[in-house]
Order: sequence, then C-alpha cells, then structure tokens
Amino acid sequence: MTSPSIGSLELTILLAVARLGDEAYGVAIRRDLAERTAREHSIGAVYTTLQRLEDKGLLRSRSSEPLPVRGGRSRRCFALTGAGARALQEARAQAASVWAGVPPLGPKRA
Amino acid sequence: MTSRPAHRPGRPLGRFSAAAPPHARRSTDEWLVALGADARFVADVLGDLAEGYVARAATGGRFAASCWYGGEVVRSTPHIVGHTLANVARRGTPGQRVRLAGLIATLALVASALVAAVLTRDGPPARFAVNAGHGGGADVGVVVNHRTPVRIALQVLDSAGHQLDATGVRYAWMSGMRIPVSARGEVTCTRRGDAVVRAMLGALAMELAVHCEPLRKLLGDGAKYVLLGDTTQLLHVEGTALDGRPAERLASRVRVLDRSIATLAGARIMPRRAGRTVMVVEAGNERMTVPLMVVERTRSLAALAPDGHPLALLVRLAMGEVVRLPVAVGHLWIEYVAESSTASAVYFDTDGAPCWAEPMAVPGARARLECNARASGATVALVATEGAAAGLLVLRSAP
Repeated sequence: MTSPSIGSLELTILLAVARLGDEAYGVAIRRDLAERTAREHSIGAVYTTLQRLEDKGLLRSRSSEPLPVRGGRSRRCFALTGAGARALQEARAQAASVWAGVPPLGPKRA
Repeated sequence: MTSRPAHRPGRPLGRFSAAAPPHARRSTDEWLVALGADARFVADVLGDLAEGYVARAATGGRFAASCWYGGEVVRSTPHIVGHTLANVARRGTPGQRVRLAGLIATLALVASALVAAVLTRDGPPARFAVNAGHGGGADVGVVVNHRTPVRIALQVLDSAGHQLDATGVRYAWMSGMRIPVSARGEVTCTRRGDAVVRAMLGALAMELAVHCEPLRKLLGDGAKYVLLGDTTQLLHVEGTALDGRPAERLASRVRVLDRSIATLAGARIMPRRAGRTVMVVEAGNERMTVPLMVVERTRSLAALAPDGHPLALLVRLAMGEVVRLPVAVGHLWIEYVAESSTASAVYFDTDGAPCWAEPMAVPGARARLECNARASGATVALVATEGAAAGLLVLRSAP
C-alpha cells in the first residue's frame, strides 16, 4: 500500500515526533524543529501540520492531564502510527534512491 | 463517600500562576470556539502559548515574554483563521456559520471604512478655484456685481479635488483699476473696470482678474409659460450697470423655489410637472423674481376642469385668420403669450359669455381675457390683427 504523499514540513515534523517519543507535544516539537532547521515555525503552523498528519492517519494523539503551566489546558502528545512509520521508511528509501550516484559535492579543483 | 469530580480538559484549574500570560483568558478559547474554531486546536495553540510565556518569563522576564507572546499570536493568527474557516465549512453548525459570516462582514466593513477614509483624506492645498457664484471660472476671473464690499472667497482644493479650509487665503491688489482689496479678500467696486488681485496660501499663489460691474438693476422677461415636455425655453436675465449701460458680465445665481415643478440646467428651464412657482435671480445686491408656470398641452379650451392644472393651446394664425374655440363653463382666465421671436398681435372676440378683455398694448406683449361662462356653448374667437400670430393660449381657472 502506498503511503499518502507528505510535504517537507510534514516530513520534518514526523521525524521530530519519531525522535521525541513520549515527549512529542507542541512545545517540544517546535523546540526540536528550531534546533535542527534553525527556523522558528509559528505555533499555528506546527499545529495545522500536526492536525493534517493526524487526518492522514500518520499520527495519533492523546491528551495529558490539564496543567497549570498551560493555563489549565492539557498537552496533546503525538505518536507515529504504523502508516506514519511506513511513510518515514519510504521517505528515507526515496531520499537514498534520489541521492544515489551523486558524487561528493564541493568546489571543483582545477 | 464523596469523590472529587474529574477535571474536564479545557476547563481552568483554579487561578493561573503569577507568571501566567496576561492575555491567556479562558474567554479567548470560548470566543474562538463560538466562531467555529476546533476546540482541541484552540486549546493546543493557546496552551503552547501559555507554556512558552511561562518559560520565557522565568528566563528573560515578563516584558520579553509578552513580546514573544504577541509576536506568536500575530504569526499564528492566519493559521487559526484558516483552520477555523475549514472547520466551519466541514463541521460548523448553522449558528457558527452565521457568527463567522457576521464577523467577516464586520471586518470587511471596517476594512472598507479604513480604505475609504484613506482615499478621501484631504491632501495639501494644490490649486485655487473660483466659486460658481462669481462667474465662469479661473480663466475669466471673478465678476463682481455688488455695489457694496464683497468677499471673493476662492475655493482651495487639494490634488484630488477635495475642498479645503480657505480661511487662511490672503489677497492683495496687483494691477489694473485701483480697487480696495482687504487681506481677507473683500473687494469694493464702485465703477466698471478690471483689476488683477493676487491670492496666496503658503506656497500656493494665483493671480486672478476681478471684473467690476456693479449693478443698478436686474431685468427679465416677466412671467414664463413653459409647456410640459418643452425643454427649449431659456431664462433671459439682463442687468443695468451703475453707469446706466447694459451690464456686460453677470455673476448671477438662479433657483426655482419649487423644484418639483421645474429645475434649471444653466439658463434652460426643465419642466417636471404642471404648476406655478417662482424663479429667484440674484446678482450683486439685486434680486428679481420671475413667475414660472408649467402648463399641460391641450387641443381644446373646453378641456379645463374646475380647479384643474393650467392648460395651453399652441396657436398659429395667418394675418386676418380667425379661430373660434368653445370654452368650458366657469370663471376662466385666457391669456395669449406670443412667441418671443414673433411680433404678432391678436384680438379676442367672445360669444355667449360675459368676458372682459385686456387688449395688447403692443405687438408681442400679452393679451388677457377673463370670462365667466355660465352655460355651455360659449365661444372665444382669436383674430391675428398684425401679421401672422404664433404663441400659446394659456387657460386657467380664475382664482
């Protein structure tokens, strides 16, 4: 079965969720993205993408207990589904295939 | 046994901590959800904002945290709006759709008002313009028909044509006939002649000709009779200057008291309905009223109904030709109004009704007849006595 197509930010967030494991919730995911891509994505952009990935069946989520630090709101923790894991594997294989045969890149020597 | 009720996600857990963000109120969640936003999405975004604020306030202080909070709200707003629209489109209740449509309409209204305010705002003074009551425009300058001091009162416009405050305009006499000119633009014309006056407002300046032609008297045609549907009639106004000669330039203002009967397009009279009114002509210190009667066209003098609108018959007679017309029962006024281009004369003759005729004094003037026909069968004859006659026979009930 072919996995749904995923975009660049979707792939990056899926990878962050895979790395963070049980700690994959909004603030941690944004922090991970900022460290690895050197870009501050807005909270709205991250949650819109997380929602889309959940709608595609690549992520699932659960709510934590309400926390005072969040103004009495719960954290929503995300985890990869089986389809999400497969999508990551396919993305990795596709990237390897695309990069295969490319010589080391760098300034040409005369 | 009593148990503590389970806390529902999305409900506040008592008071916020001291470092809680200033804007994160529960009403924000409720407001967004009421508009149709997904409750879980709103709670996630606002929860992350609150958590981020607390973390930053602890390390960088509340001011830095508030700045970050505000920036994140701005950056996330498009996503929240987009998500809300998509959510309402997919799963919204009719109430949510109505509320969201109302909000969008309100925002569109506010945006339109802002755009309109920007487009209609006044710019810096760009040019002067001559008021309509002062003559034909900047190329002909200003016509002054007053015998007493009068303000020139130029208009000041910006580049978009908006009228600006003109109280700061200053005036000075430059050349031509010597006339007193005050700094505020009051000129005094005691005789015929031309002068050049300079108007200044900041860097804006203009020289304009002031044509002095103080009026002694206004002259007109007398009462105007216009057929309903006839738009060829013009109002002629002339003036006599202080030196007794005809005025060459008139800066006159004309208005019709009852604009439901007729209006004016320049000097052209535009009849709208049958009736009587008055045109008021003003020029300089002079004022003149011209009665105006708009009449319906008829083919018979017998068509007049008691208390009905005035009627008019077009008359064309060769010299010596007689036309005999039956008149309606009642007390009537019949008036022959010669076309201005003809110098004809007519004579009334009556049969079967007591009538009092007021003959024409000179050809081209008006002839009047007052009749009191008590029974049908009365007639009025009209005879062209001096050349061909062309004009209107106006018929109305006597007051």
